[in-house]
Amino acid sequence: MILVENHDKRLRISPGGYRGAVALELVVVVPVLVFSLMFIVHVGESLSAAVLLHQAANAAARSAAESARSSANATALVSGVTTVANTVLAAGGISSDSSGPGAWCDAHMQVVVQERVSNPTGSEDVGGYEFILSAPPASEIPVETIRVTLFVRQSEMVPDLLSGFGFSMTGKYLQASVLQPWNGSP
Amino acid sequence: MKSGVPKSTRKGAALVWLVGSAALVVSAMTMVLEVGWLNLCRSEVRVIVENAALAGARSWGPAADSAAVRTVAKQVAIQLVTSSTVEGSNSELAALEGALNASNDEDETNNNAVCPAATVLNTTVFLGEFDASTCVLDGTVTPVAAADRGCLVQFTLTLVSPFTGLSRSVQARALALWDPAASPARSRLVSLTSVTCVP
Repeated sequence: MILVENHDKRLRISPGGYRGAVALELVVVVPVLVFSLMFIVHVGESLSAAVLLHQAANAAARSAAESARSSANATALVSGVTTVANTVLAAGGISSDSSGPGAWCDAHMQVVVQERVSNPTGSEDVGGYEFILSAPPASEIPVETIRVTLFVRQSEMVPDLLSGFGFSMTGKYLQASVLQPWNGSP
Repeated sequence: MKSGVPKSTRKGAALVWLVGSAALVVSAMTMVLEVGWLNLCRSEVRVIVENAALAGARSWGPAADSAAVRTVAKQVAIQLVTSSTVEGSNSELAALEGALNASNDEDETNNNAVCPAATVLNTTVFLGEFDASTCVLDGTVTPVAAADRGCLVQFTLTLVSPFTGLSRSVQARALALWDPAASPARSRLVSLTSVTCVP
């Protein structure tokens, strides 16, 4: 408003017109400020969620590393990993499966367990809903280690504050991966 | 609008406010991103160093002690560090490989070529005898009984912030002890008070 007033005297606003000018400024500035505020909250929540997911992956990997090897019981290993990860996420208020893995885990979490015992190529066991985009190959991890990777839909971990501004979280996910040495019975 | 300020002085006021507040908002956003990213990195690095120490202790603990076995134990710990990722990137950790390997020398007591620094953590994998009552890791004792074998891993990692472009240092240290009394026998993390080392 003021710039226009400077450059074009014909558009000079009368003293009574300042009310409209203030309203116009509000209309322009408030969405920018609201978006900035929402963006800061969104990023903060995303980083907090990433830390929680990493804690879940770490707890799951520790548990897996101390359990029997998957070559003997792959289903039980993946199930155990999912249970531990879900416990951490439920305690953090993310998972709604409070009494063990259920509908929420099936719909929103992908668990990838990769191991190398003496297998030169590695093996992989996958549980949960299939929305994984990519995972590093198991052959890249060191021998005698296990890697747990968790994928969780971003919309389940972070409030969707920016959807009103055209930013959608559909199809996006958070990922956390932990490499752990085998620490159980050989 | 009635105020004590003449109307002519209001010219440009909105622009000044907008620019000022935008700078403030951008600074706040950068700070939020930087602090959050650094916390996430610290969390990831802590887990990596712990798991490396566990791997080293597990490798050294149950084996018949020898210089070759200690080298393998250190290699296992080093490989776990260099194969891990921080914020999806492996390059910073892979760059530690040379310094970590340099901490192994089979001619030195317990293969320890480098003594761990306490303040700014230098990059080393250190093996020694752990005293559970004092929480002291002694690298000068050899041979070390299986139940007292401790593996210390520590390093300082330099990361470049994707938000500000500034270099940030993240330090991490963890000590794991082989526990043959556990069922099944396994390595576990323990607290550390100090390290005894003769360079």
